[in-house]
Amino acid sequence: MLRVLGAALVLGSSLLYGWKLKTQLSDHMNQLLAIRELFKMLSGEIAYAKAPLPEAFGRIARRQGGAVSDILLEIAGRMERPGEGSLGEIWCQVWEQHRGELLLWEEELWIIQGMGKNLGYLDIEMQRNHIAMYTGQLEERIAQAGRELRAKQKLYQYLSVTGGLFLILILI
Amino acid sequence: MEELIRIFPLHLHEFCRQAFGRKYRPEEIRIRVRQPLQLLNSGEELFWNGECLQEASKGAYRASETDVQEILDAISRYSLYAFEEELRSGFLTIQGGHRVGLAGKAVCEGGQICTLRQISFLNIRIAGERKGCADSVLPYLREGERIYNTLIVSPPGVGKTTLLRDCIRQISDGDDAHLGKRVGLVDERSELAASYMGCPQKDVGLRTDVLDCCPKSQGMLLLLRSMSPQVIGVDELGGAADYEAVEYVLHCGCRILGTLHGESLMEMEQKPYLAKWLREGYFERILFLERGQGQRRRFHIYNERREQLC
Repeated sequence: MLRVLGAALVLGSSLLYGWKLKTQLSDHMNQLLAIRELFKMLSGEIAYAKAPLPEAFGRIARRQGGAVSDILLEIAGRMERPGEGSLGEIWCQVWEQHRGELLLWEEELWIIQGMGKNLGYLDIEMQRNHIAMYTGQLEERIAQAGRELRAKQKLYQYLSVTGGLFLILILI
Repeated sequence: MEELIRIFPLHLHEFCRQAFGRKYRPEEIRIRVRQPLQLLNSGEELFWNGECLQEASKGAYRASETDVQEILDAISRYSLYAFEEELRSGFLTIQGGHRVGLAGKAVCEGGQICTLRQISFLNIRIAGERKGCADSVLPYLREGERIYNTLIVSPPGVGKTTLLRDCIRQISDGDDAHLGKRVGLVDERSELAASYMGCPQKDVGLRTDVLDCCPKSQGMLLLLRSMSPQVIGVDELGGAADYEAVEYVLHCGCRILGTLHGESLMEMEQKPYLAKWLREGYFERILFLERGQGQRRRFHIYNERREQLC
């Protein structure tokens, strides 16, 4: 009886671990999509509403929610305080501080930080082009993450089942 | 003045605290890259030496490119692109109604200024709110319940806007002897009411409707249609479109209080539109404002027949 219970627990935990890895993959994808959404909304706020960046960040944060929303609100708050440095500095620092809450790869963080470095100084057309360039880079990462998502989700599913069974066989 | 202090870099906050303290009544702050930081106080120039304000420019703190950039970041909220129109005009108005004049390298296309780049010169004009400054003027601008169409004329920086704001406030509020009037205020540069997020930061009276950031000519007509004002207040009339809108408003039975850059009746007579207004007596009161001693201002008022009343 104890063996059966132990085997069930081992299989259960390996399935849970596999499910966790799958969820992380889809969360990573969702974060990339949220950031692409942020870039697009920001471009709209700049081009059509001509909104100053703190207001634009505030509005986007209210519509988006999640970790990205907290980051934007923090950036907007720091922009309104004196002596916080340039926007590029604030942008990079805040994204770096929230790195632990994000499931992003180093390259993806570089894209996001690069986008923020030159915000604000250029005219509207240049701002749009600048954001579009980084949106393009992000799209590539999203496409790559999409391919990995399909392949790895199945892999994790099979691995978690077979790994669990393998462990049970060894232990028994 | 907190809204002004926060646009300065941290190391200049002490300068601001002293400049806006009780001892001084600052009118302008001039910031020029690699030049001494300058404060215009009741007509006299003062310089910041890093610890206190002094009259001599020797040993004064010189503003750096970073100082100017940080101030620009703060006044534009890191969003210069949102102020393209203002950059073309060479100034922008910040919270509190203070006007920041800009100069640097102009980018032109087809002979027109598109924008400013490499901004290295800033002139911060501090908006004053002097409640009661119109007390001695108002008796000449109204008779019973009737408000005279009035032009306030002076060179820049003498206090036209401050005077107009107080006239509007008193006309709008009314008093024991006068009923309050509905006033429509076209505040193209956000200087009169100093609106922030749509709400006036300066007291412009309880019956005043403010149309913020709207071109004067269009704003006057819009207010006329939408808010049925008895009096329209408008600052710095200048272009032909403004003059046409003023004439339209006058023909609709609405009263106008406006300001204009100028110095004398003779100068006004040389400008085609103004000459016509003077000839036909559109404006029943023309008030010339000039600097007196210190903070004091002198004024001369003429009627529509160009007779001096005071």
